[in-house]
Amino acid sequence: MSARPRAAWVLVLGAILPSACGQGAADPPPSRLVVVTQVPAARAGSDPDPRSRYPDGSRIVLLDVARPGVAPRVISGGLVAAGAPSVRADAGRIAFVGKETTCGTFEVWTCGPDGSGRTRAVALAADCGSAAFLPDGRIVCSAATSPGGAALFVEGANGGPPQRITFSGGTDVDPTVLRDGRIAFASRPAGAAGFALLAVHADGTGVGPYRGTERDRALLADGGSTECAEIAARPKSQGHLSVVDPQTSWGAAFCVDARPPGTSGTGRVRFAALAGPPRPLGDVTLEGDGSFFVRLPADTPVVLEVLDDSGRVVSSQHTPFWVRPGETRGCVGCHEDPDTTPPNVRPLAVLRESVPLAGVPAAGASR
Amino acid sequence: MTARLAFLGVLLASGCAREPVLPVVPGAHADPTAMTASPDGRTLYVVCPAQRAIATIEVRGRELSGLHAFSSAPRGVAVSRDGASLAVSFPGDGRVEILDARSFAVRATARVGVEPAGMAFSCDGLRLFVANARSSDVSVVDVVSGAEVRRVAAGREPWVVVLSPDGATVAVVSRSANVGAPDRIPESEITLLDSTSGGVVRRVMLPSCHLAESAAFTTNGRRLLVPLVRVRNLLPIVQVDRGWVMSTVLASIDVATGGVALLPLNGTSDSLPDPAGIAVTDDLAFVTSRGTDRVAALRLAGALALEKDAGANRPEHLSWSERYVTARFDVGAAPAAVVVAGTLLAGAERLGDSGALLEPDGRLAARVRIVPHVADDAARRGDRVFHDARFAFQSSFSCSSCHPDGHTDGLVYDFEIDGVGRNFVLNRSLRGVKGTGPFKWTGRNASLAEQCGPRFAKVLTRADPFPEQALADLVAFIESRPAPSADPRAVRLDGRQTAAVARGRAIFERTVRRSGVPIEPADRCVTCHPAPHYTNLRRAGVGTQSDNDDTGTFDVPHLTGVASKAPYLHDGRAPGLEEIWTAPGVGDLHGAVTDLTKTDLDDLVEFLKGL
Repeated sequence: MSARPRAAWVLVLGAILPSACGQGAADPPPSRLVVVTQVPAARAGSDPDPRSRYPDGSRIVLLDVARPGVAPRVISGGLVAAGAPSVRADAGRIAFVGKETTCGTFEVWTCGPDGSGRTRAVALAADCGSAAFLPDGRIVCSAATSPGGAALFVEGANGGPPQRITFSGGTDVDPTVLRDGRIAFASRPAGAAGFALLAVHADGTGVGPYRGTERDRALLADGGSTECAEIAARPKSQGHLSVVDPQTSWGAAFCVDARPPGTSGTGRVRFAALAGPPRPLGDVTLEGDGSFFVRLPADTPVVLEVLDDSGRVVSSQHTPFWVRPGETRGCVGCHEDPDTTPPNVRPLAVLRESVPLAGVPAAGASR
Repeated sequence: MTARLAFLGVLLASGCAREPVLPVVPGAHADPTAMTASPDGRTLYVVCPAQRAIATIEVRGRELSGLHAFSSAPRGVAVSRDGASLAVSFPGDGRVEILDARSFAVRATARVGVEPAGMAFSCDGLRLFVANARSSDVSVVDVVSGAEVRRVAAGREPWVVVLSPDGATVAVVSRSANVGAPDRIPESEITLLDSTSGGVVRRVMLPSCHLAESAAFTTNGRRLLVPLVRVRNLLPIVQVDRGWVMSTVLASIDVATGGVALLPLNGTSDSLPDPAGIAVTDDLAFVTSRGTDRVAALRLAGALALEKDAGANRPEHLSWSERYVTARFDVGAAPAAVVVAGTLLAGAERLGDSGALLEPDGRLAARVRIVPHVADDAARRGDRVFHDARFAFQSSFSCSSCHPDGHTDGLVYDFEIDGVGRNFVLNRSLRGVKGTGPFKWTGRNASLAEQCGPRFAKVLTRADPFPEQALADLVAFIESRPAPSADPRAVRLDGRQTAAVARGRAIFERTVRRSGVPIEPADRCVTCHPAPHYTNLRRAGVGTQSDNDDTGTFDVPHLTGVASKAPYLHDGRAPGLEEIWTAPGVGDLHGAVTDLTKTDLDDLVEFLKGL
């Protein structure tokens, strides 16, 4: 006689629930539904790969935290494994990832708030790790791009193919839509050990460190990353009109002053691409005010070093950034705190033609 | 006996019942824009320009007690320290009335500068300091006689006047940055006056700061606190976050030394745009954000402890605000002013036609309607859109952040859409633009709907475009804005032109040079600038293309109210009207002017000021 699998489950981040339950009352309180991931006991991995994080048997359930006695309801029935639930701002739809067979691919699914009407959402051939709703209803999800690597993709407009929006060259996972419309996500550069929290617009522009403070973290608009999301309407996040120009292969970036604080000399900035082995993109001479203005190959992870007059490296940026086609972005300086506002200056570099780096058209491009 | 008591009760009841306060202008909004409290905190005096009235609100009873009508729309109100006198300014006719604060009986009328705004009484109540917004000066008025006894130059568009707690210093805060070279950092001025002599003690310049609409001294009088906008107009606008376009700061000015510290009021991803009012207690300051309908509470000790790190030219660290902004609470639509009234905080809710009384923790104690509800029309809805910063990424700014009162901030910007580091353009006024399309200096946008449409969201607000209805309402609001008035100094009080204006008109309309040689039609002023808007709605080349411009032809601007729109030309290179023609190399490219004398140009400028 074979033993039945033990029906023991672990709520991912289940500590959220007791605090949400409140105290019992004489009259039944109104329902307060949350959607959570349940993972078979002692089998959840910490790796962002969904195959590790959501082993077979993982499932999505609805819980009524106001009525602890009510049994959870499984809404991922028929799937071998599921996880990472997220709720649309109007509470009308739930997204999660799941696979139909043990050897199958983790796909993004959506269903109604009661689990009905389940459909596949994003057509990607690789494993999807987690998903969230953008303000316009489209879905952003992480998906594998290489063994151990992942990037964020956004559902195409009007049913078009998914568009990749992150290009760190490492592992970009766990997208969460902020109230300002940006997507916060965890990013681990290739070869690095830890994750950083970054934020990016839904078109992949403006990537940078997420600068939330203690209070700003309350702006996180959905509970997707905690794997416990309340099924309740919340204010819709801001939208963002894409500035990406698909006809272009490059973007531009200028820096107000790349020199370390307290220095006044000139120097150079050396750029390298991290798509595969590091590939030099070229050097740019700083203007007298420390500014530079370059054209970069689009959708390419780029790192840079600042060199002084004698060629010594005086500062460097190891966390890769990228520009999208047609994007122009500005930065205050490599040395600034991430919450520093820029000075009101007109950088000398922007008064000249931007400098093309390797792989970028040398002429005929506007600034 | 019982009957007598009953009769007495009826008498008391009838005596206590307050007659309903009727609108001065039935069916109109109140638009409360400024407010002050009596020294005992019992009465609020609320400026209601749309009612041409001052409303009085009794704080204890939490009710509207009166709506006192005037012949024209007021802008500013001040109360003397003994609570006996009230001053009300009227920008339309350069007048200030000094009233009995209880009866509203007029004690004196003063003729002051152009478009008076904020005011403050001296400590003894004998002098009144009046900020003249349009003439950029301050009138010192003898309260008893109403005579202007002194006129002092201030910064551009002085807007607020406050008296220090010890009565020694009068601070005059300018709203606009001074006009300077377009590639220079703009500066706005705070003018500190000696309250006895009226003389200037110090001029404090605030780099990259403008749009101050309020100010308050700390209760110990050592610092003047001014919430304002820290603008970054020289930086190419390629993004919005981190205060890239603008941020809100609190300027803390050391009254003794003139030292300035700028303390950010924005958080790292949460903005407090369009600061309109400030009120202080011993420990706290309250700043209104008109763009987000909120009031921020600041712990002053925390803020002032950071002053050493926050010198005027040092970068702001947005996370600093976490140390002293203790709360941001919601209030009614477009809070325009805030004052401390006893133990409560009072706010003027412009788009709510109401005054709000708040507990210090932000809880609403009462909301007092000034006029009965008036249904929103399209222009009113558009007014809300225009002043709502929530259409911009992270609520960073509203339309009014660059177009205060629908006008212009007078700054030059570098938009990404037409090339980073190229095609710098002067921000243009939105007043009086109905019927003057196309828009933009390039004339690219045929309509205001196109001007404010998706492209606007792409290059500036970096968020969703305005929804269709909101866009239509916004256009309705902009088109409802009248052109700025003519400079009254160019027009006599009886409305007739001065002699200089008449001579200037002749030059404007002339068809022959002084020598008698005919002027080609294309070189006549009236060809490109015909009435009624003084634009032919086309583009023209006037010799102003620079190395940074991709084109040499620009939209011919309309000239109504042109005197209030400095600087001039597409890139703001002309600080005044005369410099339009006196820059080197202009010659006759901008109309036939080379045969004009200095006197002729003066007359031409006077004519333009009268438009």
